Amino acid sequence: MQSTATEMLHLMVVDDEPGMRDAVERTLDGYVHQVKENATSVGFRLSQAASAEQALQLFEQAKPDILLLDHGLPGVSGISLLQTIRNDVPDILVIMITAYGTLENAVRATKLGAFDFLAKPFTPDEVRSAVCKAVDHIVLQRQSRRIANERRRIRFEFLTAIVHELKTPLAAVQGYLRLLQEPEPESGGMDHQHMIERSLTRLDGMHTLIYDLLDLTRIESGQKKRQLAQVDITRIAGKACAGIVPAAEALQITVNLETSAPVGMLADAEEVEIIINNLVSNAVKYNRPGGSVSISCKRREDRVVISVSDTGIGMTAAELGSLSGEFSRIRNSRTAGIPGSGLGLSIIRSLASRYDGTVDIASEPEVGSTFTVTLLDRKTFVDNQFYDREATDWWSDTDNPLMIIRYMMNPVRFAYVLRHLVARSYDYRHKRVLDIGCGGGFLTEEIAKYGFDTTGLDPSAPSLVTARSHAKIKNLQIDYQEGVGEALLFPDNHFDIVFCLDVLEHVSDFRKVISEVSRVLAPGGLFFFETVNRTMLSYFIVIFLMQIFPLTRMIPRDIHNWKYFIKTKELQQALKDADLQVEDVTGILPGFELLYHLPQLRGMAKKRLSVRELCAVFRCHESSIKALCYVGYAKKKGGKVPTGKASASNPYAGVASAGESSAGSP
Amino acid sequence: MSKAKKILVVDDDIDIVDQVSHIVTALGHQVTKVFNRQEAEAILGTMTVDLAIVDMMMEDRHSGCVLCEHIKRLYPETAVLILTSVADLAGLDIPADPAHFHSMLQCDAFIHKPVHPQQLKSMVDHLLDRPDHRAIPTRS
Repeated sequence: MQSTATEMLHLMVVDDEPGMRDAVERTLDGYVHQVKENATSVGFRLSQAASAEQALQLFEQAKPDILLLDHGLPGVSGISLLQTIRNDVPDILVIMITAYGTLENAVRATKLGAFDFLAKPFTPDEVRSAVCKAVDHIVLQRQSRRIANERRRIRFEFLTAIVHELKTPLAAVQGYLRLLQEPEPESGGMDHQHMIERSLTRLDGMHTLIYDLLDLTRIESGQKKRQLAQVDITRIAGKACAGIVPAAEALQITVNLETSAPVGMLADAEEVEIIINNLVSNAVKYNRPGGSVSISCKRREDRVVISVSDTGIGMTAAELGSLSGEFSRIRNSRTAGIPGSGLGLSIIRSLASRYDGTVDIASEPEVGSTFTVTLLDRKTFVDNQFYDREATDWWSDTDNPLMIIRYMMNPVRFAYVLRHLVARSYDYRHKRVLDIGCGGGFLTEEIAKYGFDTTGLDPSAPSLVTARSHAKIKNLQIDYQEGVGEALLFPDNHFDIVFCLDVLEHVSDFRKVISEVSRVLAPGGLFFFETVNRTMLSYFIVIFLMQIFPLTRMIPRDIHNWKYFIKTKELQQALKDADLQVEDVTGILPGFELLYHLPQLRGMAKKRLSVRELCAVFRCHESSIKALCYVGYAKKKGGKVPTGKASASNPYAGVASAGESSAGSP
Repeated sequence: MSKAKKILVVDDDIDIVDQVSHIVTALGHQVTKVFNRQEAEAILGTMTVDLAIVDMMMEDRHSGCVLCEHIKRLYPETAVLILTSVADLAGLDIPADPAHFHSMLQCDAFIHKPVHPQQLKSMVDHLLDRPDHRAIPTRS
């Protein structure tokens, strides 16, 4: 094999026949196995033993990872060595070599803990395949052990930090109570009223910390249900200001809301409230008596910018840099008296990330700080909430706009996909497929029917509910997950095929989606895409006729925004940048003749014609014209190392014959 | 009791600083409060301190140890009392960081939080009354 191994495993062959041992060694010498799941290449360090006794001796020097163990050894038998290994060195994976036709031996060995068995006579391919299975098992087991350890470590660190944050105020309160217990509690200068007030303040701080922790956990675990609606950011900011005024007045701090005009965006009101409350309360806490806080909300194109400035103690550049993790607080004599959980900024960042947002901080010591949170308003480009509202209609037979996808677009898309897979003589079995933007699962179900190991991804939770229940009715195994294409929660090289049909023109950043697709695709994996071209034709048909023109419109406005359509060149460049090599791009057109079909569109708009009938009339087809929609696919660069390539001109036929001869002498 | 001594209290928690200051002020000593290692080092450069009462975990887990090492190197006459809680000690990777272990051993005494006023008083008396508080070997 050409590729080099990134990891070596020790494999020992225990057999009393030298010919057999050598044959196995030749089969595996220099062979490199690619573990598909995590891109590890495994090579082998090989050793031999002629008997169980010798094998046990060799274990003292170097324990093998995999043992190929002959069942019929003279002296201590293979089965008793297997038992010894099971008890004393359970880490070793044993593949039992059994004689032809002695299935009961194989079964017995497996029951005693053998990982697998090889029946004599066997071919080099069979040896490799059994060994590779064992290697996959070992590598994945080690990987999951590593991940579990890493998880334990992170949990430990987080718990240590929480314990510290809870213990500190507790120690302060205990200290005050002990002072109050003293015979002359005020002899050191502090009066007991102050001690009581400080104790209460610290207990309040603990209370806040516990609630912040709950908030953060709820946000990050996705347990907090989101309710997206059109909200007025200025109004939320006004509420936050009103809430903080009593605390601010106590410190003679003035709070100014500089914005009066409404700033609307599609958001969860509670999330925005938490963000602004945190910003405003920090601006008051870290201010100076007599200072001021100003809040402004602005729209900048498709983003909303919330900015909160204070005239407070500010931060040095080094302090700014330390504000990244959880429980990060600036600790110096200026901040010593200020209560805080150190979680506020984590909460703000976590929530802002739900809106593709950013948090920027500008600060100058003794002058003040400005926190600027920028949130993306998805409403301004495409209304993907449409899919939430229509979620229950995906598979419904009553007329609805989703039928355009189901009857007009899907047949031609899927025919395209199948034709190209067949042309590549693609083997569907055990291939992992991801369908991004699966909606109710129209395409996902088609894919799953072909035996792919299928995952569907969509940001619309209601659509997924429909998709899951429909797959259940159809008895299809599909893993439906909530998520967005810009941030795929899958490991690298995980999928063999990724579909992204009728999706790229709906996402905030199609280049990001493509680079994520490339990341999760295995080398040589395929990416099927379909989207709408940004041309005058697409404007006329998709925007003007379908969404705007009163006589013909059939789908709600804002489902598509022409600005977010993608030119073929732009898409091809993005694919190239993501190491995806374009294999084919084909246009898709509806059977559309303007004069003939305009009245039918009109009939549809007037409800004389059902969407379904209309779809039948229009029947999309593949075309060389890519000016409206286009479908295509690309291949991720780099290919898998073909397994068992050497077997075609196999010089080691000896393995099989050696197996036969030893089979006769158990 | 001997005459008033200069005591530096270093902790990032204002209440602990206030409590410790309150207790040692009642003993008749003169107290300076600071809230992190850098501020402590700056103060030490401008005045002579008889005793520094230092929190172990401030900006990071070892700041108290680092400060202790700093004091013992530059101002060997200053006694150091480290404030800690049992959990800090349990969480401290002593074998992983021998340098910090060494500097921690250089301190003159430990006291656990939460602070018991009587215990702190007798510890402070003990450290300040000792003619040579370096009776415990502090140099390697």
